[in-house]
Amino acid sequence: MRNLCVVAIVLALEMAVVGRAEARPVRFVGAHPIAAKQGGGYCYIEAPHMHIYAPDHAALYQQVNDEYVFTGDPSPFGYEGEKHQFYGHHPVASVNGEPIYCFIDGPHVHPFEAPASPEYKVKGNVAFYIGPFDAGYNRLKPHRVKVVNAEYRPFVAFRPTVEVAPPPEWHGEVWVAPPAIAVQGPGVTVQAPGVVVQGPGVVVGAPHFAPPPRVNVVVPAPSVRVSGPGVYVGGPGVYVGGPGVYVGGPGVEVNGPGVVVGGHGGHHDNGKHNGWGKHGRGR
Amino acid sequence: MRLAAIVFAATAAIACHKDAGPEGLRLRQLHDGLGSAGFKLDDFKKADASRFSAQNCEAGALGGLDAVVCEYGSTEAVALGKKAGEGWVAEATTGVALSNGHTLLLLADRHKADPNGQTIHKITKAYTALK
Repeated sequence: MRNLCVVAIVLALEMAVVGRAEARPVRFVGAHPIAAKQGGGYCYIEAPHMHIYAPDHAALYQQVNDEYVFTGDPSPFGYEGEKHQFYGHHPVASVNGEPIYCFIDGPHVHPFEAPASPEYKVKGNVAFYIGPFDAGYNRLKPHRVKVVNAEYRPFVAFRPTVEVAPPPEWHGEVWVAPPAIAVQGPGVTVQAPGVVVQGPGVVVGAPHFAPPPRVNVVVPAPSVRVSGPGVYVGGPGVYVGGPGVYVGGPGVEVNGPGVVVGGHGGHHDNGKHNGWGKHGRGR
Repeated sequence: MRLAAIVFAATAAIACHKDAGPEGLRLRQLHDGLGSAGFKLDDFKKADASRFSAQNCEAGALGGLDAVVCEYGSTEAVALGKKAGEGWVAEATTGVALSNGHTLLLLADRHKADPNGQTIHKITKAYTALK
């Protein structure tokens, strides 16, 4: 009994210590997505700052000491602002002298413009990094490439469409959009670029991120036939959506008894350029 | 090489002197600078400077955020005050503790008045640009 009391006291003390550790503010440098439990969206503070929450997608951050630096494409996270197209890996900035890299394969955007330097070749508004990578990049690359690109897999529709070939000086890997995933269910077919959903008890899931673009499709009730467990159709309005599934844009088709919703993804940006990221200022 | 070393040493000496000298940003300039960026500190009241190891501190509301600005005698003292400032920010949803010259700026969003940090971004951008 006495031993039990000792164990209980030790556990209580440990919990108290852990509780205190969680209450510590988390440090960020630069803008970043806001954690979903805090309402989501995008935090636009460039200067070093603190929040009471840790980042949702730690893989999209590079940690420098105890500070998180968001290195990803902000498009899927409610970011509204200037966008500049990049293709493949490139340095982002340096914080306290430590270089920060973007490890996103293929086309993506950042809120900042590539610096005007011989290390970047810009073709058709797309920046390709053709400069050297240092040892730090090579050390981080094997792990970071895997985790960062896994995070962006559900967001194919947010990627810009790049129609230029990489310059010959560029030595990165050409990105190929993931193949279509087909799932089938009676009566309901949802089609989007790269995604087809079919099948009884269909669940199309993806990690929880910011809400994807939504399309409300109004279907006359008599023309909708629904069968199969796990498929919900509320008529006369039918809402089709979910993380990882992009439905929308021109060319939306609605047919019954099956419902087909089609659209195209891709995001172009022709925003004005606003200079390179300014991480690490104001210290 | 030797010349380069001398030039470097001289530059460093000038830079260090300037850092510790009286030319750094002061509270008065901070008032003027933030005021011209649209963030008036006119309603700020004297605050307990000892809490932030400062010579002078003022506290008030800035764009719906809790704010404290302090002035220090040296840049070393600012660093000390910044630590204390981070403690003041601690429990806020979002907060900043930034220094510039002989001044310290603390902002704390305790009531989610600035959910996307747009106001904090504007204030800190104006503050860090002051010289």
